[in-house]
Amino acid sequence: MKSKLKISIGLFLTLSLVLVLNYIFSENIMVLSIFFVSISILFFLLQGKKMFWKLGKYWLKFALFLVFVFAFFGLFKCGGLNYKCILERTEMGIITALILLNTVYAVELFILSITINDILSLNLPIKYLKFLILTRTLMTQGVAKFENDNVLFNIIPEFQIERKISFKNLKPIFFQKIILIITITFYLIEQGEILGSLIDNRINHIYKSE
Amino acid sequence: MSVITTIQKGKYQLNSSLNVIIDTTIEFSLGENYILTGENGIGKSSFISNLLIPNLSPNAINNFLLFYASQDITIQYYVVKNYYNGLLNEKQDLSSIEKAIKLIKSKYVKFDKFPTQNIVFVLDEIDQYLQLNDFFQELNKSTYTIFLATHNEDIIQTDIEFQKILFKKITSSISKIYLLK
Repeated sequence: MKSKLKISIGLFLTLSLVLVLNYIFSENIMVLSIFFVSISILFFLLQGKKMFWKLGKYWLKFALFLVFVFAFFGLFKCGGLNYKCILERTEMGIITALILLNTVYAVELFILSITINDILSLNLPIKYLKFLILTRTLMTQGVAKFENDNVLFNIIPEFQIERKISFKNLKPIFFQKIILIITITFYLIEQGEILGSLIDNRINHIYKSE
Repeated sequence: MSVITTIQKGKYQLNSSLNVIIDTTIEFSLGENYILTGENGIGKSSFISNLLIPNLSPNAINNFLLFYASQDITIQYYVVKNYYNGLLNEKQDLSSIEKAIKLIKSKYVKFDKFPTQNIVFVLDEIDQYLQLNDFFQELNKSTYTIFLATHNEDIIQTDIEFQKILFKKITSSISKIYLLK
């Protein structure tokens, strides 16, 4: 009962917050910033320093990159160095980045707060439980594996050249980031398939045993 | 021989359940090779990922490239595949992890964007994917340093001289590291 309540309240709060952010305050940078600070503190307190930095390191970099992309393409949209217009584009980038960060942190906080035992206590049919268990497990694995992303990604010798962010280095830096995203995607798809068939096996085994 | 990194004597926390004690400061030098041995779960991989690798920052100033084949080699395999065959469209045969390691090794040896071609290899229990003896045999042109973690040092048959880094269990949560010259 306690687990069901925990999941229900968590799900309700997460969905409400995400909907409120995306539809009601999606233009208000101040509210988004306050929410970002609050959810970060909550994440820090509930999941600990280590988990906070693990996720923060990855998503903050991604958010900064997003702001940069908005500002960069603003140059073309604004037809040159129109500062007011570029500032507006950058602000749009910051808003998009904040909505992304807030949504990701809220959803991650919800998923990481749920244990496998909480999921099992839901008494749902096994075909639905399977997906919930898989999501929870992949989330934990993904976070753990990409803790030292730079070290693992530096297997490519070109990635070991220290590059300052500049127009000249845009292409290699972009390549590096895109490889990170593609690898995470492929890794999670493969792990999902492996873990999914392991869970299927276990389900079949239990049904046969019964 | 230039020192690539120094690990000071002291007690280090490797993960939530394991600490290591190093009695004397250890200096690792370019051109020397090290084999990390000790029983399963004693902290060899944690030592590599949490203590050694963070102390080896590869860049042009340090004059070496870092080739780190971790226990999470499948992730690195995806990185290699996505980069060379995906982004650069090189159409390399990367149908196995072994082929990917061989390709990446050749890229390191040919890499000419650093002033020198020094390479530091850190191979963390990758015996199952690779014939280590063949791997070592082909390493004759560059100046290199190898850190090799393995459960089975008997399989290594090479002319390369290794210094042994021995891991010994003191208690269930404390290991001690000795460099045997």
